[in-house]
Formats: sequence, structure tokens, C-alpha cells
Amino acid sequence: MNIELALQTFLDESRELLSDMEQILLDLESQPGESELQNALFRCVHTVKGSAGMFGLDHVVDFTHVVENVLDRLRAGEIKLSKALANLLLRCRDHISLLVEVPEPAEAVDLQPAGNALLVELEPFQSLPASGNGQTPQPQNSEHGKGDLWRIGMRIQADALRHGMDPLGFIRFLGTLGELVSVNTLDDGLPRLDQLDPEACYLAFEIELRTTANRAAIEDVFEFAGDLYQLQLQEPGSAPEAVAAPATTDMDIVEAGSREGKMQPADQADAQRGRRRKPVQHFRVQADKLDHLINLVGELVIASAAVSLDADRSGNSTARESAANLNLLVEEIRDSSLDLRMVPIGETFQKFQRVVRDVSSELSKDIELVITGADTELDKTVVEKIGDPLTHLVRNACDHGIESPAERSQKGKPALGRVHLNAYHESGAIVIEVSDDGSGLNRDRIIAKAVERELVRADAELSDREAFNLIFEPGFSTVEQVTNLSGRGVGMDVVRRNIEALRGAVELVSPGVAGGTTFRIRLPLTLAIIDGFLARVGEATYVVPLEMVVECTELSAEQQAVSNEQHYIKLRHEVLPLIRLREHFSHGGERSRRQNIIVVRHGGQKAGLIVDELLGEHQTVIKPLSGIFSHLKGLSGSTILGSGQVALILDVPALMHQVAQHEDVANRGIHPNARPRLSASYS
Amino acid sequence: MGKSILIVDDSASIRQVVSMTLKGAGFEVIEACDGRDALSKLTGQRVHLMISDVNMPNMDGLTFLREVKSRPEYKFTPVIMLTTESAEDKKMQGQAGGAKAWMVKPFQPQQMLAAVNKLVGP
Amino acid sequence: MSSALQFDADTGCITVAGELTIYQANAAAESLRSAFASGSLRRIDLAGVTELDTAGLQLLLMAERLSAHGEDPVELVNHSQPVREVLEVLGVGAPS
Repeated sequence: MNIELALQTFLDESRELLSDMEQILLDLESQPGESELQNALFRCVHTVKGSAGMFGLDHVVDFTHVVENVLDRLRAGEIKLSKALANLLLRCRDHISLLVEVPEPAEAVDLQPAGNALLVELEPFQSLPASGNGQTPQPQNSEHGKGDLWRIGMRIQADALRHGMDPLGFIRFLGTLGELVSVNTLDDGLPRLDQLDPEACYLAFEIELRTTANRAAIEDVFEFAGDLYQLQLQEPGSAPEAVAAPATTDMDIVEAGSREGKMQPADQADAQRGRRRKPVQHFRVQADKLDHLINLVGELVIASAAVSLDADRSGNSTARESAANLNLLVEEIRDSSLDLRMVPIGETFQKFQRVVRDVSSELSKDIELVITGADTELDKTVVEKIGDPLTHLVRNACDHGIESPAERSQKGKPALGRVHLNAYHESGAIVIEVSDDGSGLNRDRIIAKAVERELVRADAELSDREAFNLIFEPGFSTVEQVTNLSGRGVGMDVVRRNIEALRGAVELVSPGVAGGTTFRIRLPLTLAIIDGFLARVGEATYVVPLEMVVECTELSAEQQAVSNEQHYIKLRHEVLPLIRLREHFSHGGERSRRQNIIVVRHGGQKAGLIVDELLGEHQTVIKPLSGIFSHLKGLSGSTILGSGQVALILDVPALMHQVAQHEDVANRGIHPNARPRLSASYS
Repeated sequence: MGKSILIVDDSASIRQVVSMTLKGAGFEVIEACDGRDALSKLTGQRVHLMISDVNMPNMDGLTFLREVKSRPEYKFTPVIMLTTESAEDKKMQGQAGGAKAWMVKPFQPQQMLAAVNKLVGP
Repeated sequence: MSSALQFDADTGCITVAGELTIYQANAAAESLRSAFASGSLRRIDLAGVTELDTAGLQLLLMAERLSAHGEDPVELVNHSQPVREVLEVLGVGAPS
């Protein structure tokens, strides 16, 4: 075998791993406790040690073994990566990189003193004193010159064959230790043909082996077959007796074997180790089990509402009371089960340490990421979907928010820029803020750009807030110089769309909380439940997400007359575009005499929904739309009311978008490609 | 035709040494750098033994074990898992229902060859 | 990686071709059962066996045991080299 070639591979690989190790140690300084990093760190050293062992590079193995031990404890959470330990590990890394370049253990003596000094420093972080190189003992030949006769009884668990642990291989291998004097195959365990499980092992063996090997060497043959084989070894010279006495009934061997297999000493030791380490605080649940539970709870909420309704109708006060009790419990169950899916946002935030680190080095800026509110919880399904928009905002803050170091020092600011991620709960929603301490937005430049892009008319009067939020319009960009980072064709409009898809909203504030700009994202705590406002149109019931409802009011006769003619209405000095749900969803029938308007707001725009009747607030569990409705635009889901009736949940952003496209564009000075214009510019 | 053995390890040097050792003993060797790679290289051909590292990127050894054991053509193929003396790895052994053979790294090529011979014969 | 057990009811002979291992064990046991149930099983021809493992061996031991209770013993004949090798190692009824 060409050992030189393999050794070269080992060297290349080790150099690479050690350079990874350095990087990971640095990353861990900014992301302490990041478990993936700690695992990767362990793997680096682990692989170097493993490979070195194969080449007999004991000097590398001996040293890395101790480092590996420390890293193993680190990833198990038994010790923390202090600054001191990080520095020590970096020095160990440097030492390992010297060691791997030495091809022979004997030549490594020069490095020994330095290595020993490091080992002494590592001592406090170790669980056990350094225990040699961790090599499995080699089979040792006994001192007796000639072979002894060993009797070996082999019982085999039923599923040994299924694991590929065929006794034939082991018996053949025993033969290589010496001479197989006799093999007795015990087939008394075989059941009748019609009861035979052809994949199970029913055989046991008695073997006479003449060998110079000692007991350990013989046991070693079966070592890695674990609990599948039970051996009985009879010392040479002792009286021969049946050590693997054949079972008298068909299944005895198998059953005895599998019973013993239930709780092997190894398993017990593992269980104890697990208990000792730390009290169990979490256990993993498959995500789809949780989703299934939450679906069921949704059904339960609906069923319980139906029970209440029936109880109310029955006029039976006992039934009503029971139903009310049931309702309370169901609400608690609903809240608790939704709570199961809540996870702290911290983990998501932590990932941005690396993003900021990478981006700032790409841009030659000095930026630190500050995280607050990491404990704030939100629904797992929301967390999974918020990563992309957040990444964009964080990159944007580094790229466009934070000034170059030169610019900062000119302004008398510290060279170190700061991006701040913050999260908190506010009235049933989670708010996530991405702030920077950069220069903030230039209002005039934004308006100029928006006018140039025909997103807004030059004479439009915009509040600061409206002006700043123009950057979420499609095709808007204030950067004159397209940098590496922003030149990826993804604009703020995509960020807004992603967030709106989560029934959330994003706005921009400047100057923000840290002086520069702040992007503020509001998201519902969960996507499974919606606080809605119920309204009736003809026979159908619609649900408007409550967070979008500004106000509800009955239309006066005069307003009603106007609204019949026009596509907009003036409500308290504000012109609102109108969406007539009756027409939009092609309901037949007569318009009711009285009409109501629900004013909704989304993404800084308002619109009025015309409905027949207002039915009030209702909390409901969202179900996906079934096939017949899924083609309808403007609906985001459905729910079942306590009465068993289906109510449709309105997709307000989509409705508003559709309406905007139908609007008379010339009249409002807005480019047809733009989103619905800002309501303020009507006044 | 020699018996066929799959070695899955993210360390190229371990793969190389194992591969050379086994080839030297007359086996055919398929190399893969992680679980995912290994699955893609198992296309239904007869494999007599698989040797897999536990701790690997992309797809770890236990996931690989679970996946491969769910394929009927590899259901009974013996698998040697390469492990370490670390506590984490020992804990994993308890969770790996389908694996009964464990070999502790570092090992000498001859030890590996011995293990292979026990399972698939010389 | 497959084997086939062909039972010829006229001659009462099962011929095994290919591997006889755990991968084929279920199918092989089924063939053995139905051949035995037919009442005419006399012989199992092992000339075509290319590989035998413990699962396969168990089936052969089983078949021999069937013969011990039947009127006409079931015979294992024409042991191929791989079969001989296994029987020799295990010291079970190695053919002469």
C-alpha cells in the first residue's frame, strides 16, 4: 500500500481542519454556545486524531486526545468557552499543526516540553486525567508456548442475522487465532417449519479452539458484535461441560436471548450517564406531531363552540354552565398547545452574528451586532419564514445604513458601527426591530428618487413616515452605487411581500432607535389562530383579520348613494378606495338596505370594505382553503364557525392590490405599476 | 470477484487507508464522504459490508444507517459504525437501533481488516 | 442477488440456483413449505448454490429434519463448493 500518498492526504486534510478549527474558535467568541459550531470544532480535532491514529502517529494522537476530550465536554455543555480557554485552545491548535508535520513519533521529542505545558493547562478542563491514546488493546498472545484448548459456548440473539452479524464469519475468524478442533452446531432451537421465521437465528454453537491467544483476545473477536452474542469461555484445563446447553423447547434460546437483550449492562450505563449529566429539561418532538395536535385543537375549538351554541339554544341552564366550563378548558388547551410551538427568537438572531461579521469584512467596515430580546417567543412556523427577510434587512443595515469608517470618524462617531436586533411582544404581536446607528435616511433624496421612478407625484405631500416607506415600493433603490451586496436583484418590496405573507407588516423609522434607521417588523405570534372581525355579505360570512381593522361604521344614506356611483368614498377628510365584497365575490341577491364599511389598513394604505352586516369579533383557527375556493383571489383561508358554517378569511393585502390595479391611475398621479397609493395623498 | 465494501467517512485519509487495506486483501471498495454521498452511490448493487463514521457533515452516520436499512436490498447488510470514546458518541450508540458493530477510532488498518473478515469472511 | 427454488413435483426435487442467504430466506422458506405440503418432496439439489449463510443453513437443517419424520427422507444432494465449505466449518453433516 502506498503509505506516502495517504500520508500526504492526511497532511493536507489536517492543515485544512486546523485552519477550520481556528476560524470556528474565533466565531465562537461572538456566538458563545452555538451548538453546531461546537460540534464542528469537536469534529476537527476528532478527525485529526482519528486519522493520525491510523498512521501510528502516536505523538499526535496522545496530544489531540486530551484536546478532544475537552472539546467533547464543551459541546456537552459541561464547560464553557471562556476567553482563557479559547486562547488555550488556539495555542493547542498551533501545537497540533506542528505535531502533524512530524512524520515519526520519535522525532517529536523536541515538541514534547511545549506539549506537556499545554497539557498541564488543559488539565482543569478535563473530566478525567489524560488516559493515554485511547487505542483499543491489541490481541496479546499468552505466554504459554503451545496452544491451550478453549471451549467456547456461543448463544446468539434472534436478530443477529438481520444485523448482518452472521456467526459463520465469527467462527471462521476464531479459526485464524489457532485451530478449530471441533464445532458443534446446536439446532435444537429450530422450530417447526410452519413456525420458522427464516430471518431469525435459532442456532447455538459449541466450539473447541486450540490457541495461544488469551481470554481477552478471544473475547475481542466478538467485541463489536455487542449484545448479539453471549459467550461462555471455559478456561483450559477445567472440566469440560456443556456450556451452551441446548434448550429443551423450540423457542427457548431465542427468547432467553432477546429477554437478556432488553436491558444490557451497556444500556444501563448509558442511561445512568444520561441521568448524571444534567436534569432533562427538554425533549424533542417531531414537528408534524405537534402540527397534528394543533390541527386537532383547532377542531376542538370549533366543536366546543358548537356545543356552546346548542347549549344556549336549549335554554337548559345546566347545559349552558357545562358548556361554559368546557369552553374555558378548551381555551386553556388551545393556548397551551400553541405555546408548545413557541420558540425563542434568540437562535435565529444568533445566526446573524456571522452575517454581520462576513458582510462587514466584505465591506471593510467595522460592525458589531447587538442582540436584545432574544427570549421573546414566537411560533416556530413564523420563525422558519422570517429568516430571509431579516437577512436582507441586516445586510441592508450594514451595507446602506452604517457609513464607511472614514465617514464615521469625520462625523466624530466611533469607528465601530452597530447593528441592533431587538424583539418584544406588543398587544398580541411580536415586534422585531433591525436598527443601525448610521446616517439615517435622506428624505429629499427618497422623494426625488420616487418621483424619478414615477412612484409618486412631485407635488404629493407626504409625511416623513410615508416618504420613508416609499423604499418598499417595487423598483425603488436609493443607492447610487450598486455594491456587491445589494446588486442581487432583491429589493425591499420583496422583503415587504414576504412579511405580508406572514400576515405581518414592516415599516421604516428614521431617525431610528439607535440614531440611524430602524426597520420595525410586526408579526402575529402564531399563524394558526387569527383574531378576526366577522361580517356578513348576503348568505356568506367573511373574517377580516382584526389587526388590519381600523374602524367599522354604518354608511349614511348619502354616503351609500355616493359609494354606489364611485369607487371611493370620503370618510372624515380621508378618501378611501372601496372594495365591495358583494361584487368582488359575485354574490347574487339584493344589496341590503343598510350597508356597513370596514376600514382596513395594510402597509400604510387604507381601504373600505363594503359589507351587509357587522357581526363582531371572533377568534378562529385558520384552515387551509379547500379546492373549490383556492382559485379565488382575495381569500387566505377558511374557518368553521360554531354553527358549523364555513367563514372565509379575507386576504386584505391581495384585495387591496387588486383594487389598486383597477383604479383610475391618471386621476391619482401614481404609476400603474405601483402599489395602491398612499391614502394621505388623496387629501 | 471480490466482495464489495462501502466506506463512508468525511476524512479523506481514513477513507484512503481503509480503502487500500481492504483492496490489498482482495475486496472491492466504494468510497463516500458522507451519508448523503453514500446513499447516492448505493444504486442497488450488492454490498457485503458498510463501514460508516458517525460524526459527519451533511448526513451523519446514524441518519445514513436509518436510511440505508430502510432499503430492502441493504436491509441485512452488516454495518460497522466508526465511533470514538467520547461521551456523546457513546450516547449515540444507545440510539442506533440498527447498528450492532462499533469500532473505536483511532484503529490500526489491521484491526479494521480483522473486523471485516469476521463479518464477510476472508 | 437472488436465488430461485424450483420445485419439480414429478421428480420431487427442489433445485436451488444462486444465493441462499437471509435475503432470500423468506421466499425460500415459502417454497420449502409448499413443496413439503405437496407431499412429494424427496430431494434438494444444491449444485447451483453460490453462497450460503446461517439463514440458508437453517433452512437446509430444517429440510433434513423434515425427512427424519417423513416416510421418504428428504435428501440434500450435489452440494456445491460454497455449501461444502460452510458445512465443513460448522461440522454439520459434511457430505462425503
